[in-house]
Amino acid sequence: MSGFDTYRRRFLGGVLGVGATAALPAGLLFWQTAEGDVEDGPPASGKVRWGMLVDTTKCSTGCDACVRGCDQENGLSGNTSPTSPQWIRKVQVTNPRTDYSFSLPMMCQHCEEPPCVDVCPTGASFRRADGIVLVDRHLCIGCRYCMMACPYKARSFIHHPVTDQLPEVPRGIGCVESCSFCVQRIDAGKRTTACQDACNAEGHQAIYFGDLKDPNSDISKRLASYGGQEVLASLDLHTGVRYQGI
Amino acid sequence: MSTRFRRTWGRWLALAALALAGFAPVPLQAAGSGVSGTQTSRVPLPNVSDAKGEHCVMPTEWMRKNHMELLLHHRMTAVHEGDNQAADKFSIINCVNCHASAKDNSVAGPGDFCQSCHAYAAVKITCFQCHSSKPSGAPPAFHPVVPQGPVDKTSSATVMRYQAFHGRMPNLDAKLSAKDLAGVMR
Ligand code: SF4
Ligand code: SF4
Repeated sequence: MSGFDTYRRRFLGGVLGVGATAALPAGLLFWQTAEGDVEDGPPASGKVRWGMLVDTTKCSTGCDACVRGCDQENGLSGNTSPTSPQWIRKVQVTNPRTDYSFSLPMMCQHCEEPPCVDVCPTGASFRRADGIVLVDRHLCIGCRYCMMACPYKARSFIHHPVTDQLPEVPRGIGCVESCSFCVQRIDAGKRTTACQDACNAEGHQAIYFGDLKDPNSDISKRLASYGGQEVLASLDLHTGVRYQGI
Repeated sequence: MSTRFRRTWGRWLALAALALAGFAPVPLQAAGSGVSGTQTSRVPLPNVSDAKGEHCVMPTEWMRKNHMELLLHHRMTAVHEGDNQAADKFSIINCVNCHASAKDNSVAGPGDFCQSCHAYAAVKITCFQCHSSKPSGAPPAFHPVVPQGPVDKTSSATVMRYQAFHGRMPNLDAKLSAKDLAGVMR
């Protein structure tokens, strides 16, 4: 039984205990039984695995629409100082032998075997059933082990107090954070990420997002016809973000 | 036990009783009457009157005692299980939407709903280091002020209630199940 099952039992037994049940209006009990499956998005389930495919041949050097889209969606400042949180960065890659150069966005790769989760001493860094790797900020103590463990340098620490957060994206000082695959959108039933929307709006169409477990999803079909490589594939982390043309 | 010891002990007890009577805090019920900002003691009474809508998602007395349990539970379901927060009537987003003050559109400023009661109870709130203390802009997705009628997907009242609770129109081609109406029907 997982920790959350234990937790849920304690909650139901404590708050909705025998004594209290009689005093509760029917609404809450109804909500308890129907919890999770009545809203716009279904709860996180192992039946899907969210993934992203980046076509570097379409990604334009010098364009940072995806970065701005992410900043706006998640309430980041957009600063790039060494202490500013950045969830997604544009990286220019050049092969010194051939001088072939291309640009790509780098963010949390949503590893299937995430090293950040392995090292977290509090259980704050975790992988959701649907493959999204997140930090539970209620549990994070800001030790930053996960930042050291991440081979992609995908995580940021919030050094300064944050004000005017977006209601759907709580974030604050003392916690580590990284790309969440726009989890607030997914939980609300939307099926695109902010970086993808921004890229499409620029007319580049370099980012695809979808369910890797569904063979009929756009992303699975593209992977089947064109392939897609993991960055640092030799680490066997089975990342959820794949790249074409690297 | 000697008489003298008993007498000393009795005096101490009397002193303790006096001290207790002198320093007993004003009971919270006094603040529950909806009066806010009244100064009846050295400590300003909490402001418990900032709220939109008819009534809370749970009885006020219950909430006063148990809101932290609800928040603890929902932080698990929201973060780990992916329950949609915007559409969950027990999420902190909807608490803030309803209880933000007219004064500064917040629950965490001086004299605001959350802050004033926590100051009164001397319990630090850390929620708003991360969570927004301002409403999300969307109307509160619960206790819509529409009359309760029979469940009939063709009735505009049902559609309104559904829309207010779920933030979207029901799929009118599909049959409305009991699940769809959980939270819509109270
Ligand atoms: S890319 Fe880094 S932060 Fe993301 S899951 Fe992998 S190890 Fe964790
Ligand atoms: S910084 Fe937070 S999420 Fe990262 S390892 Fe430490 S406790 Fe875990």
